[in-house]
Amino acid sequence: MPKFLDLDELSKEDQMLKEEVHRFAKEVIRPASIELDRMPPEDRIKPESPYFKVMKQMKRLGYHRIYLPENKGGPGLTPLQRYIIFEEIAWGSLGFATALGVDMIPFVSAALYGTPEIYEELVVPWIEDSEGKFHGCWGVTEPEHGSDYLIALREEPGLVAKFGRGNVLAEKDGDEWVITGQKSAWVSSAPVATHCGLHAQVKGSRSIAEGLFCIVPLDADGVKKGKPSDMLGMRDDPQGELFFDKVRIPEHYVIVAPGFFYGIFCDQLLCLTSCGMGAFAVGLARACFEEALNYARQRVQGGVQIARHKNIKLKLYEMFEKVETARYYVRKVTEYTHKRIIERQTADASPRHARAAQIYAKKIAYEVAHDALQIFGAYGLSKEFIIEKLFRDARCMLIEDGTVEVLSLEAAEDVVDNYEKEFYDVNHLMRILG
Amino acid sequence: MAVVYPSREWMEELHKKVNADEEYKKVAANWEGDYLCVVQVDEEFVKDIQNPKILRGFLGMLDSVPKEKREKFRGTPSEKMLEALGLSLDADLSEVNFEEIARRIAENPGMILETAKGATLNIWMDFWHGEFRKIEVAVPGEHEDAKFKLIGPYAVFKQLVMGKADAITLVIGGKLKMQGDMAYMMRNMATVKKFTDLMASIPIES
Repeated sequence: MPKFLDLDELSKEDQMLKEEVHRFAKEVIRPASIELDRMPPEDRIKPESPYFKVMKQMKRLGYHRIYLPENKGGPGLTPLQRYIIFEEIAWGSLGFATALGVDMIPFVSAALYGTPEIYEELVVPWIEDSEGKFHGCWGVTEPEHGSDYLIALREEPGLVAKFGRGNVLAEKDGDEWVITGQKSAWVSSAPVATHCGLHAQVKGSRSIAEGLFCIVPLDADGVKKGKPSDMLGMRDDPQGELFFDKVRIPEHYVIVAPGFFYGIFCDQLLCLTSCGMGAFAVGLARACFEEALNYARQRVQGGVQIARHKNIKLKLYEMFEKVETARYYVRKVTEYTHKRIIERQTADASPRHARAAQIYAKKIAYEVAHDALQIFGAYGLSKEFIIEKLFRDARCMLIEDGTVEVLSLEAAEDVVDNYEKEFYDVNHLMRILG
Repeated sequence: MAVVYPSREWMEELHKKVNADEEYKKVAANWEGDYLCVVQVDEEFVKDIQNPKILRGFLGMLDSVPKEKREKFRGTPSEKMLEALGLSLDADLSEVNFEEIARRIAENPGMILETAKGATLNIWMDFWHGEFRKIEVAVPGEHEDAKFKLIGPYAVFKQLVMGKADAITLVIGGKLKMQGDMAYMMRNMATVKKFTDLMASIPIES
């Protein structure tokens, strides 16, 4: 069981939840993630792949429903409980944590902002799924626009227009929307997904900031998937391209219509995903720290455990400090953000604080993974120990879901413009979408 | 007690409910500003007013507009709609034969809808520091300078009133159009949410 002093002095219920998820992460998720990591990309998405077995079990445990408000079919968890689930799953595998996170995006967005019609049609079957029949993914990144999407709402409109046309365009045609274009090869879970929560630029608009968010069933006519990518890390969550050739979706599949509130949605969705990524990063960092601590207590050099060597001891302390500070900051931001987006549904979380949670936790996760691998010495470079995989995953985190540099620049705009404001200021959105 | 929507009773109930709510007073303590809701006549509206109770409610709302102000409806789609129902702006709209008019609408709803194209029912609401000061039917051109304007078809407003969807969902989904000072709105989302929750908690008679 996860043994560490939790400064939040968890209730019995929280403690039981933590133990349950940790057991699952240790006994089911982690072994499957190691197996997947060593498989060729094409084999990871075959029906017999361990990926599907784990996802099916996660659905049975109801982990996919945790972000839903209680009145929309959620289990009524607290922000802390949601955080605990994410940290523990990411402790087991960053890939499976990401798969769980992106699975939620189209369906939770539809539950929060969609019509009653789409709730019944798509969200209810997804909620009730215990076989892993449905799997969501999040289509943002494009061959020509990665970080562009993150910074588009805060840059000067003139500059954003120079980013160029989006690679996926949506055009209204009667009661339907027609989607055409391509998302890049890094869309997490795309090769195994059944539905995509898709960002698309409205055809004829000035920039990628003028978009919409819709759900595209990936078995619709005109959808094609690329081959799964062969990446450095996060190999336990298949990634790949999505192609849309005049794909038609009904109007109510557009969850967020073009206009000012599309900006609010993007800003707030990134607050929510930042909390998730923050929790994932802490889980990964903790896994690295615990591996290094255990190894350093056993490995003998110079006649003593290396944990007694001053340089190693100092490293271990610094790793501990980073994991602890990141955990409690991410938890605090999660509480603030979830209250506003999931519970009160006022969509006014603080972008700069949420981004800081993601950025800080990602950075420390990489630093902790780096130091942990160093403690392992040459063993850390071999596949004999999991630290080699964890290090590759941590390196990927500095890029996936927004590079830390661009996320920092975006957050910096909010800090410079709004630091003194005790509310969510939307003047940046007025400038570009008003 | 359940009330008919749209109706004068619904407006009164909403007014009473919001002003009686202590939590609303607290969250709206800093709110300053009014709303103009522009409810567009649509197929659902024409269907609903085939029910004499709903027709009575709707005409009762129009009847709450003083006769001198009703002049503003002259030449508008709203006047044309009334004429198609066999009514005039000068009539006492709370004393007509609702059953008979509802029956006439049911006989040719397509014609009523066509005639009423562009007609709206405008409701103006004024809020100030936790107090819901006033709710009334606005005539064309009136309160156009309201701090916020919420525009959408009757069917969508009905979802909001009946609590089937909340305002944020409807605005984000593009079903309702919102105009006004968005920065102010987003600073006060808790107030907006509380108000719409109170509105949705009023039982509606079907």
